[in-house]
Amino acid sequence: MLIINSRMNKILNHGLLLCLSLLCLPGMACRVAADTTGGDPEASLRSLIAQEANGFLGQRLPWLKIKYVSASTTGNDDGWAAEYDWSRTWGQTAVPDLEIAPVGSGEVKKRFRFAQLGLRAHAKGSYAYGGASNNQDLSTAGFSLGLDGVDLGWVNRLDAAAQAAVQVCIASLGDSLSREEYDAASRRCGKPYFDFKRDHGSHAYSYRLGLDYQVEANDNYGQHHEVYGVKAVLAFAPASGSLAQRLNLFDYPFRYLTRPFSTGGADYDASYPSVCLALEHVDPTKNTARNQLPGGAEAYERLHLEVAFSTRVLTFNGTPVTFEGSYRIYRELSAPEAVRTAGLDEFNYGTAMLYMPARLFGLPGGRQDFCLGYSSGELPFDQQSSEALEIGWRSDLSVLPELLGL
Amino acid sequence: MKLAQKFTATYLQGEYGVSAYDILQTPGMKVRDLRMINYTAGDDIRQVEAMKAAAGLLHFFTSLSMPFEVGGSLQDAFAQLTELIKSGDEAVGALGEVVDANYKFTDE
Repeated sequence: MLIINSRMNKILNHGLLLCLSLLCLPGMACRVAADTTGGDPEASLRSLIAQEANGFLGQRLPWLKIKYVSASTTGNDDGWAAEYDWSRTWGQTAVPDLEIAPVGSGEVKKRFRFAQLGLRAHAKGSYAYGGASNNQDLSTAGFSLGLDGVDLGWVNRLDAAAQAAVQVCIASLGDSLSREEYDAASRRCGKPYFDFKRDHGSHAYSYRLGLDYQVEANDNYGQHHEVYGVKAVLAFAPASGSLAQRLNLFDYPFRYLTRPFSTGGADYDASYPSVCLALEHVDPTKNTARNQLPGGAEAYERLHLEVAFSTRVLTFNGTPVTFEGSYRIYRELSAPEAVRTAGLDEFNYGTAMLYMPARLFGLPGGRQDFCLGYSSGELPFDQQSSEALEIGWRSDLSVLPELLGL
Repeated sequence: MKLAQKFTATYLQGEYGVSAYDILQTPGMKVRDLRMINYTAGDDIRQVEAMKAAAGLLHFFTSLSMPFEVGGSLQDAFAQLTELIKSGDEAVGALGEVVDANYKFTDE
């Protein structure tokens, strides 16, 4: 996000803060996750520091960012936090055999399937300095030995004439075309492939089966515990027009209530919710809040379930508005009475986000610049449940003249 | 504009509904802006969704019988695209660069 000047800031703040005042409920923490820097030199300086630092880091360490965190719950302080999201995989990948003839030639079909057996190291989370608390997610780091796979159905190819037509068409797209002209032409170029895929496509899925070891921690690693687990993850996208695709109940509100209002490009097939299920053995030796309870220091078994769903709400002027949500449950099995009484045996956390293109508000560019989010619940190490409403945007100095009509 | 970027943008437009023109012309647009996967989800779900999205992009080039670059491979392209999509922090052009590094286009 970039700092924006005071006039622009007033325009955006006026509109967005009006929304905020309408949507905030009693007892709910509200955040404006944007450059609310107008009239506050310190906030401007913090945004400038974060912008410059992340610009520098983005070239060298794209997995690391810094940001200034405003406290979202009582008892926490504002402060700086470093956010990191890194992973690396070592392993063997099996890829599909592509030496087949086009559909209809009589050859045996083969699957377009990838499989990967390997070891993955990962670290994701944030480290907050001083008394700051991010309250967004757990910090985790660890290793995972797993089998990953993707299957997109049969290996199908366009016939030679269609292949040539698509390639020539895309190659001929001119750089001087307007946005509308380019998009229409590009859509025409890709149509033979997407029609072919719709007619010959099959269900697609990807999965992960893994043995995990990881450390889960709070923002400053003041509390952490070790987790050993066995995990299964599945993502499934039904074939276009299939019964499974029509029975995707999660997508019904969007398919029947919002997408019909799209301005062009209402066709969309949502995937089923992705699911992660894990049985975990947790060693809470360094979980100080839990250790104070009778039986709280003993290792325990935990069930972890996460469900995540995303879909297209509608398409506006060639740019989609997207919904993303996820819900996590951490439930301790056979928890001691004291742990149950303290409410430390189960943690639930849900978050839902709506991403909107800048174009929806008359601004140029295809970035998902505006978001509206809601999160509720608690994660392990949280002492109390919290709710937060988040409105965010980012802006770019290059859009100022157009916004201001200059 | 390199052909690899144009081919990639055409696929992303058809699959994810994002304007191909915006993909090619918007400064600062990141992979995350395409919403190819659910970024509110945890690490494991993002991993499997990213694998599916990466395989989908490679299926497009397979259907077109696009030849591989010398030293390019389906394995490398799959692994690199999966990482890019999962993190979402790189510029959207990085997807086209991976495609360009692994497939041979007529402008090379």
